Amino acid sequence: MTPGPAALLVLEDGSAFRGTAFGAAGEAFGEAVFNTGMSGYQEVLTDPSYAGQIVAMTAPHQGNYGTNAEDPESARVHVSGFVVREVARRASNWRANGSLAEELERAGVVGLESVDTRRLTLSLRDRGAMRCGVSTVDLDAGSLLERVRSQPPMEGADLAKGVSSDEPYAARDLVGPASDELGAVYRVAAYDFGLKRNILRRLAAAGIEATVVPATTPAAEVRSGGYETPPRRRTGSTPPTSCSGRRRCSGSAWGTSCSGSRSGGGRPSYRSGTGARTSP
Amino acid sequence: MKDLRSGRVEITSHNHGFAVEPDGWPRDGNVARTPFGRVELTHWNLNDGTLEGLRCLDVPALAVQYHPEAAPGPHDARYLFDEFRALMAAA
Repeated sequence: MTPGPAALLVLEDGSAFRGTAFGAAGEAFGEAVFNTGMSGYQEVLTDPSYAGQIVAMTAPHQGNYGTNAEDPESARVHVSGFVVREVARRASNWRANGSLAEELERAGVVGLESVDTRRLTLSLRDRGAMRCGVSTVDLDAGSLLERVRSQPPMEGADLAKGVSSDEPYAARDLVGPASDELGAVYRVAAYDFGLKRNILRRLAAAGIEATVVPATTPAAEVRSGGYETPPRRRTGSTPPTSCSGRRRCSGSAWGTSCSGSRSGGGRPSYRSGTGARTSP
Repeated sequence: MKDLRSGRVEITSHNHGFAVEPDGWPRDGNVARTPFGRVELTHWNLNDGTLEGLRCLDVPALAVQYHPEAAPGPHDARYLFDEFRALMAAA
């Protein structure tokens, strides 16, 4: 495989890393962060909590098992840029239906390889997350640095709104019905502030049926139970609710479960009437 | 990350650049008095000393700031989903 065209990464402290491009050509700015996983790159790409961030994978070999239809943690790629030491030349796995490079290209996300991501990781660990720029078009470190420093900082950015689902939906449509092995099945509303599918899978495994609601949903709407009761067994403690008819919805909402955005949240844990908030 | 209730240290997946600042709350051990009632500070990051999880004692709510759902990442914190279920069962 011939190396891609030259590409450049610059951190706001002025350090520059040169590499080659893979994925989409172009330019991106964001907060540089690292992930030390030796696998799980497809989950990383599609994790909404990486919105606005350029992710460097510390482990030196990425993409070896390709990409598949089961591993995405959301409907699309959210990282602003992806930086690796080396991309596997060939994807090899029985589940694979594409490659890492194709995934980035399709998403229009710039990828960099041949970057010493372990050095980059140490730098980020010691100095903290920094604003960053990656480019396949501007290879002048001074000029890219100037633009990196003119980017707005992460503080105050309303990231949840950008990654949230626009419409409510039933978790079961995505991950199947909640387990009834533990007895009663509880119903909750899960606020989507950057919800990952595995949150819904873990809730379902714990016998919790979630209706996912957009980040901007007023708490009063959830509390009033304005969601259609799905045609299935009643659960011990949740009364059926009526549908407001205003939105396509299935699944009912009593209790709130939230998954939060980058600054703190948690899994919400309120029952009808209370609000909860958590943020992974 | 350490769960102060069990003393267990867990490896977890993190991605946050902001943290709750608990120093402004009057505290009695691990229990803080907040505008939302009594809050038990349950999880601490052993690397940077930030608060990673808390549990409200006067309303049924708990929160953590890391990724207990993993994907990718270690499964150490999976028990929190059962805690959430137990919270609803008890409420």
